[in-house]
Amino acid sequence: MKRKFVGPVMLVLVAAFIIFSWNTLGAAEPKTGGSLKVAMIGEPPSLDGHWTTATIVSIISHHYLEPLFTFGDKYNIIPMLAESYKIGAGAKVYTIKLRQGVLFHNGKEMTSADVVASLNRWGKIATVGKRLFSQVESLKAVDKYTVEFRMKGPSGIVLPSLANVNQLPGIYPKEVIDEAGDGMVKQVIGTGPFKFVERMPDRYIKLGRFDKYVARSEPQDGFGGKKIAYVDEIQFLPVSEVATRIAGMESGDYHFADRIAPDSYKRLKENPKLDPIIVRNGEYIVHVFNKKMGLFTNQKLRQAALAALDMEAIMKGAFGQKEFYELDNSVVGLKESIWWTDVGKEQYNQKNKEKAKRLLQEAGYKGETIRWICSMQYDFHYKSALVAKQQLEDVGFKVDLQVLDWASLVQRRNDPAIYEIFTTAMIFYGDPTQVLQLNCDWPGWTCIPQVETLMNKLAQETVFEKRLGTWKEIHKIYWDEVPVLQCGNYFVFRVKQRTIQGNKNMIEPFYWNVWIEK
Amino acid sequence: MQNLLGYIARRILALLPVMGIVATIVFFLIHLIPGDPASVLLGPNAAPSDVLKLRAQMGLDKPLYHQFLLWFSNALQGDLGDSIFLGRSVTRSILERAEPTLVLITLSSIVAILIGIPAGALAAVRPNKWLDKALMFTAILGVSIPTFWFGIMLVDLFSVQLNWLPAAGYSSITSGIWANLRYLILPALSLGFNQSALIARICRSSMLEVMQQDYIRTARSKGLAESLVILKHALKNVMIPTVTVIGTTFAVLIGGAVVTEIVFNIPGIGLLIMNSVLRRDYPVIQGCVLFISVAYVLINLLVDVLYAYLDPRVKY
Repeated sequence: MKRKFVGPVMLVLVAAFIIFSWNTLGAAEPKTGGSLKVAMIGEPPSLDGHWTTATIVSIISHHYLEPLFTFGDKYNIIPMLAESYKIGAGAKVYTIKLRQGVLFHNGKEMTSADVVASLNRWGKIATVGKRLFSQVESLKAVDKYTVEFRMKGPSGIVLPSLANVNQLPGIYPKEVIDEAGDGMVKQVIGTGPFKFVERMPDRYIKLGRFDKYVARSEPQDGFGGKKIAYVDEIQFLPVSEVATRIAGMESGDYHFADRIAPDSYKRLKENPKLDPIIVRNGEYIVHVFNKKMGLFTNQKLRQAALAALDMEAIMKGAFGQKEFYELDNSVVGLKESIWWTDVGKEQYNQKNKEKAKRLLQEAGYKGETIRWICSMQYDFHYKSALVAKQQLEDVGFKVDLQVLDWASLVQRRNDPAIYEIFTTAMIFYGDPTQVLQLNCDWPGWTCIPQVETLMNKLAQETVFEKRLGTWKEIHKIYWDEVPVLQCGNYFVFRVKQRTIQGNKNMIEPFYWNVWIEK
Repeated sequence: MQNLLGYIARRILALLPVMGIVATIVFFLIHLIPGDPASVLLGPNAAPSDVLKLRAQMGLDKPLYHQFLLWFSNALQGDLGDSIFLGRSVTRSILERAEPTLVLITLSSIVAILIGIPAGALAAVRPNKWLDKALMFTAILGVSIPTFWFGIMLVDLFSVQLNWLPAAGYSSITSGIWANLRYLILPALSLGFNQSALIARICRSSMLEVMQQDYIRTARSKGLAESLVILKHALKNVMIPTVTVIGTTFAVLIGGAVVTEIVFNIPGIGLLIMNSVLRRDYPVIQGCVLFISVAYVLINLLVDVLYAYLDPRVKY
């Protein structure tokens, strides 16, 4: 290069470097301020994090309530309000030291009395809590910042239960628990980075930054680590119509929208102002057999149904685009999870009509009508049932698909006299002892003595490798017994404005560490 | 005047048995539908035993007549109970949503009147000409096009493409008239266009009939300008059936603007009823139906009273 050009070229390179650095650094630097508008699928039934299994409640309550433990990036268990813990006496005693100086939104410091009151309540109300507390001999405050679980026997489910995402074991002030009695909490007070401001049902739920929030020092890790409320407030807006959520994102009225229909993916991907986000959140479709009475008390008949199904066709029918589903037989439907396994995969997606017909004959099926209840409130429930119905009819089943609204289905599935199959979806399980479809009490009534024995063993085992081994045994039985027709995992479609930075895409969305780029 | 006041008093008294019958029918109907608020409140993964326990706490396990008598006796004292989901009384829940619905249907009625009456009158003045045919074709479109589709198209054009107006939501009048109007322009247009179609057709039919009357012939023979004949003589007589349609539509929309409220996410009474039915919020459903029945009867009463003003021949 001639010497006379070197100077100008260097100048251009330096200028480009400065501009690039400025833009890059400028983009990475969080900005405080603004009101974040999040379009949700509807109005939550309450704001009490302990009370309900509805996911929308746990999404919102995660912002003002915090548990003792939570999940990190790899769905490993990490401390949140706990400082440290010790497991002693053959995994029968769990001593948990609390972080000191953590404040509730009413200015009071969190102490062991609040933790004991909150967890005792959660243990009476929450599904996972009740399972845990069935093993608890006592929960007490050792001192102001220490609580102790004494278990009836060795237990491996204490920490996973206390980290549960759904029906959050969040810590409330003791007086809030006392005031609630047997009902829902009357005050929405926690230790989270956002505090409750106002609720106008069917309009918004407003949370504001909690200025005295005491953050952890570690970098953000999944649902835990350091949490910073960059935005001044979050408005959760119930927008039940998905077309309205999409229009609101395109017009810039909302910053985030949850649960968008996959068929708008291509269009939204081309929008330069929007970022479509596809999240693997461990959810999957199941068609649950009624095993308490009727046709499907017959294992061979269940196996016949499973043999007939082409899961690819079912999932494609339900979701359309490949980006939104995957075939997977793991009961813990998230490959990132330490509990993921493909044991029993030879039973999954058999697409074997001949085998299905043979099993149908061996089961002694005489053409009785199978009453299948599903709901169109979640359209993929209905679509998957419709495709599966056709596949079952092709091998000789006679199916009556009954479409109900969700509230009717949730009630009717408790009556074993009125259906043979119902359709639902399962959420992420932090621990295999939480798997609902293996529970004898849950609709479907999977009462397999061998599974119950192994589940008890799983609950009492504390060494991970042994727990995993037991879980794989259960997994094999699951695919032999076929308590449900597990179709495949689906992914959640969320959309955000490009001006939103810092978000992390875990199984449930959250908005701390998120800022609005002006 | 005394006769009119007596008529109003009789109509208001007649409201009581109407409310009683409606309350009874609705109560038993909604309890016959499968599903209950306990299972919705606890979420899809709750254990059946927890659902049963909550049902008992809510008193839903008591015999239906017992639940009805309890609710009815409270309602007679003005207590409609508390919403199971909203954390407030039924009365407050309805009142909070009355403003969005009333403002929406008032605006849409204004839109409907501003479009429908001139369109109907113009069509009647030149019957069977191209203008009449064009206007009536538009009226058929207005009735035929689903409100939700038209609403979504308006959102796509004015919110998404042009970014002139918000896509959804609501701002209370107390936050400012313009802020309130911004959110309601598109829904009012969507709903108003649909309503205008019926008003235009009724107005046209009535106008055609009125234009054949002797007094119109007399007015023309006196040499009055055609515009005066139409505006002063014909239109006033067309108002009676038109006002009936406007009043009835207004009354129906108090609970019936559901689709528009869903598409535009307006927290009105229609959306409240729909959500309450989906989540089986019994006290709110019952309260809303009572409110709508009362509103319907009162609006019809107002329409009847307006007749006396519009047509001096009408006496009560």
